[in-house]
Amino acid sequence: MKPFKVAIPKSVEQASRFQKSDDSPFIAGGTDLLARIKEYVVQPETIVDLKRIEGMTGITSTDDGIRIGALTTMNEVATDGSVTDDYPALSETIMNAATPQIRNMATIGGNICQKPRCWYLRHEGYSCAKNGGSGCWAREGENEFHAIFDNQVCAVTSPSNVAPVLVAYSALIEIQGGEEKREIPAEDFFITPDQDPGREVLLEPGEVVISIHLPAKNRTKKWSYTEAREKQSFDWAQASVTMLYDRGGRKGDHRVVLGAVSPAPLRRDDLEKILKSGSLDDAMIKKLQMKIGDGSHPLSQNGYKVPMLRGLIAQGVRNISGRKEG
Amino acid sequence: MAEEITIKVGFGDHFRDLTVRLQDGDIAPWQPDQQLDVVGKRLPRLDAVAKVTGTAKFAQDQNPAGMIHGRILRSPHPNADIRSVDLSAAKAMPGVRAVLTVPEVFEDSSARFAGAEIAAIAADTEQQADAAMRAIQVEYDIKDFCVTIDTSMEDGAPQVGRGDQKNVQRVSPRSRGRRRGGNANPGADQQVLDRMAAREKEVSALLAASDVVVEGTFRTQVQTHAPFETHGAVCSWEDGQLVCWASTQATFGFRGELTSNWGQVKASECRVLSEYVGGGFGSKFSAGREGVIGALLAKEAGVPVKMMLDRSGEQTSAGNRPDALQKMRMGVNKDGVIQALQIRSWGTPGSGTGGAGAHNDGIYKLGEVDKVEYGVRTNCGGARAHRAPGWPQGSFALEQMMDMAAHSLDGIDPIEFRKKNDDHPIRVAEYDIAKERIGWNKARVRGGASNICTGVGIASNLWFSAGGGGASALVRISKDGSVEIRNGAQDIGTGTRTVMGMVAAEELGIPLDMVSTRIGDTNDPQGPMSGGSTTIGTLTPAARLAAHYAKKELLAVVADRKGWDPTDLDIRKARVIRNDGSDTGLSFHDACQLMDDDAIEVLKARPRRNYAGFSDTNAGVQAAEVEVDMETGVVRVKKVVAVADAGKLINPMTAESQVRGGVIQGVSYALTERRIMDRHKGRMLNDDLENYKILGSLDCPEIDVVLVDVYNGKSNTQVMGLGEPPIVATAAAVANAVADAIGTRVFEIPITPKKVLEAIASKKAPDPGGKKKGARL
Ligand SMILES: Cc1cc2nc3c(=O)[nH]c(=O)nc-3n(C[C@H](O)[C@H](O)[C@H](O)COP(=O)(O)OP(=O)(O)OC[C@H]3O[C@@H](n4cnc5c(N)ncnc54)[C@H](O)[C@@H]3O)c2cc1C
Ligand code: SF4
Repeated sequence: MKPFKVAIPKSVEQASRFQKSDDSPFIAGGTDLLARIKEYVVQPETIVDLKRIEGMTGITSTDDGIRIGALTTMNEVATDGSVTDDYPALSETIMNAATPQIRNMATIGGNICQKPRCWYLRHEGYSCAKNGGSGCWAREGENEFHAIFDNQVCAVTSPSNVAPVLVAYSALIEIQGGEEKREIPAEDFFITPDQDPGREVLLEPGEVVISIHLPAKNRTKKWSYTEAREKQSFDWAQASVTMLYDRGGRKGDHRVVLGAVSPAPLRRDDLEKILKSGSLDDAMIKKLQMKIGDGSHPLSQNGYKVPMLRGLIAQGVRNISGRKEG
Repeated sequence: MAEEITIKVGFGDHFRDLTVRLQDGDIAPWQPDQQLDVVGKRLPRLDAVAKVTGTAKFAQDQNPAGMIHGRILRSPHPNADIRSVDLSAAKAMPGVRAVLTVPEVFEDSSARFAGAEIAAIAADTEQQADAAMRAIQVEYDIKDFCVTIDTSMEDGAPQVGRGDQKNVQRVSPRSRGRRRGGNANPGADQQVLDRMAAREKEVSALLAASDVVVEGTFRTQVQTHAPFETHGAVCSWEDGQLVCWASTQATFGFRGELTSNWGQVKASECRVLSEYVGGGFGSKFSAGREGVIGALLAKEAGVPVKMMLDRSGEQTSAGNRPDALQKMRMGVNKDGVIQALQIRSWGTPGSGTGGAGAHNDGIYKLGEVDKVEYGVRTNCGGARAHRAPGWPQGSFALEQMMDMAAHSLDGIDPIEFRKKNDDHPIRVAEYDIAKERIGWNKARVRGGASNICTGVGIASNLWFSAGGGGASALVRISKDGSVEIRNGAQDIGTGTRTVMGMVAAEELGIPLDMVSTRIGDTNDPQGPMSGGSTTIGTLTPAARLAAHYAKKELLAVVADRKGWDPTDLDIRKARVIRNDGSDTGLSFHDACQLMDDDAIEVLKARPRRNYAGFSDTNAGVQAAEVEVDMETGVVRVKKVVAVADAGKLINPMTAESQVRGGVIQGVSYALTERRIMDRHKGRMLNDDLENYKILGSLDCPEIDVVLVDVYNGKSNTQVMGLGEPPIVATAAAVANAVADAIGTRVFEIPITPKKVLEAIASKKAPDPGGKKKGARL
């Protein structure tokens, strides 16, 4: 790795300033950024360490839900009582991610801001649409783990296990740049390459994710998080399906969000509508399976993700119909 | 004066007498009814605590005073000639103390894979070395490349090698009259071609006459060795003597390569140390370019240099198990007897010359075999021996053919079918153990009948690991009662050190904790490389002899001092006893105190030959049980029963550990590992341990190891190694179990969710393994 300096701001305002001055990346747990620096994928002169900023760790209950500080580790989030009680899919997805060692270092803010794992992007010497060049190596290259949806410009998959679940729970991402604060719905926070191939999240220079706000839990919801991957330890999802099912049934407000199959979590309101159409039986599963591949454009090596999604949604429906309300 | 003795050989309830003419100075092997105090006991390896507490020092952990850091610049191009290497900018960088170029040192200006060594540099800090390495300017002539077996075999494919090297070359049957590096003698080659044609005709006729013919095309992937500790050494010149702390499977081989191939230092002035090795799996026999580079950089810099590979260098340049494409046709008669097998196979040595062969006809009685094998060069890192080279890939194909044949003969159970075609004296008894312990006949939801299906599969293995000549051991008994045994060979994690100590302790009649074991130092007596699973077969007979004669000397001292009959004395449990078992009143320690000299030292070499024993090979059977999620394609191996034998078991605990390791690596080969090459730039995309997927802890099955203790009479310890045999059958057993579970076959490893889903989807399409006749391979 190339030597770099570390700037240690005491406040978000200061952090914003440090970053803006020469485009220095933020570092939280470092499990993603340091790996990229070691491989010379990024060669920053300075990195801005967020960990000394106060008020960005821990989980607090508010009138309208919970607020998770961006520096809270993945492990702390997954094991927190209010999360396991009220947002169990979040706990479940984190426990599926990475390894205990990584979950102890990695922060939830870093998790949703991490860079995609495309192996071209993570090797020096492959310039592409995502890193300032043009074109995509994966589309006509080695794309077994790449996206099947929204993959025309850049076929990365959103690497975060947490992201699709935040979309499903209608989380708000709280952001601060300088003294300005704003809140963005998770669904809008994660963006696709046609919006901007260089970014995966809607952060402007100098903006820090300070917390994640999960709105008050809807007591009527049943949930399921299913994912498939090659290894159980130390591996990435090839596809995932997050489902929240409203007891309201036909009138309910359901959520179906696909993960690891597109550059951003993919909310599927067409499938949510189907969930309103009847009871959670085999016929329902068939209908969802028929539809789930709609809009996909598999590449040469990743067509398997469509049947995999069909399998995961079937398992999701069975989880929901078999599971007691949480 | 060769002495003739009669010993018992065999196992379980299969024993017989064997008359053996002992070689000069050799002693009789331990007998089944003999009471042993150390050998055969489950003892934790001697270095367990040092390893888990981090006090064990591997090559990577050596930091001699003044040490600096080496780096190797590698080619980003898969096929190029190096036009020039300009070191001037790099030399001027801070901290740089030594540089070299590969074209100058190795007289090789071609880079035939992305990752090939171009130049090297040593600097005070790792960061300085990195920065300087990146300042080296290289001009290349870039050529077209092939990085997969398929593209390299295409007509008009770019040439991988140089000169008249063809991409595809027949490796067996071998062309005769081939001059080294040159073309075949056309006349002699024609004879081979004629014989091949005759063979093909004969076997084709047998296939046509068989009741059933099954055929299949099988693919196996490239598997890198991926040892935790990468290749390399810390090299230091001290008063003209070269000392290398190396990560190696062959301390003496490493030294030999530095001294013979490169000639700047004599064997007597080069010391290789390797007390702990973080894995090798067959890739660490050679000093490699990194070893030579380390020594040269250290010489130039005048200070020690650490030259260990980084992970990318390890993954791309330090060897791999080659991939294979195997096509087979097998003819079987209704009675279940195999008539003939036709094999055409292709394997990739990469850009190197390593063996690419698949051992796909070595197990079972296969009738007449017509096998033709080709090596296919690719612009990828060269293949090296990888735990049972050629066998897991061959077994993957052959064992599935066995199952397909059994299924096509209505009603023959795959295990019964194997037994019918197997005459290995040990394995025939091992099938039933595996069958029972895996619950072969248990009711299961299989054949794709539900969302979650389970299945079982079986496969066999074979190995040849009794070792041979080439080892000596030194036993020193000191007057203070301390005992040490020394041999210069390495322990690559297999337990060699522990087993050597146990053999010496048994023979000396003292407990293991009274013996200090010294290994991994070429200043000590000659020892074997850790290859072919022969290390302990080679080493332990020497250890036993040295201990035996040292004890004799000690007892002679005792007899002399006490006026006793030396032939009436022995040592047992650290007491000097008489032949009738009575105690002399002297402890081992007391006996040592009687010495005039400070120590007794005995250096003994092992007899060069092994005896014709009970079985020249070790066998083994593995059965796997898998669970497949039919909806997502995810395969989980639930259990593997591994029945293994390795001659006489010195330490069942370390033996079991070898088997576990083999099974884990085998499951990993079956399900997750593969090298991924980029078609655009010809680079390895998963030159790391993230996307190069090695089985994780949660993915490991329950492993039920059953060891069969065999008195094979082949040497005075009767030991055979067990490093390689346990990986041979695993992937094949898993593949057969997956086929049983999902009701169709996956003809290619790794069996990923993608391939399972694809196989399920094409289930309605004709099974390429179905009953078919006719078509040529
Ligand atoms: C072997 C392995 C397996 C893994 N498997 C999974 C998996 O299955 N699922 C999964 O979801 N993840 C997985 N991960 C990724 C891991 O979860 C992320 O690396 C981690 O969550 C990143 O968090 P961090 O705090 O370490 O981020 P850092 O590395 O510190 O930062 C990551 C990025 O986010 C930015 N950033 C960090 N915090 C903020 C903030 N508050 N505001 C704005 N920007 C910020 C940084 O600038 C940087 O670009 C895996 C990682 C490894 C190494
Ligand atoms: S998928 Fe995206 S990141 Fe990967 S090569 Fe294509 S454009 Fe680049």
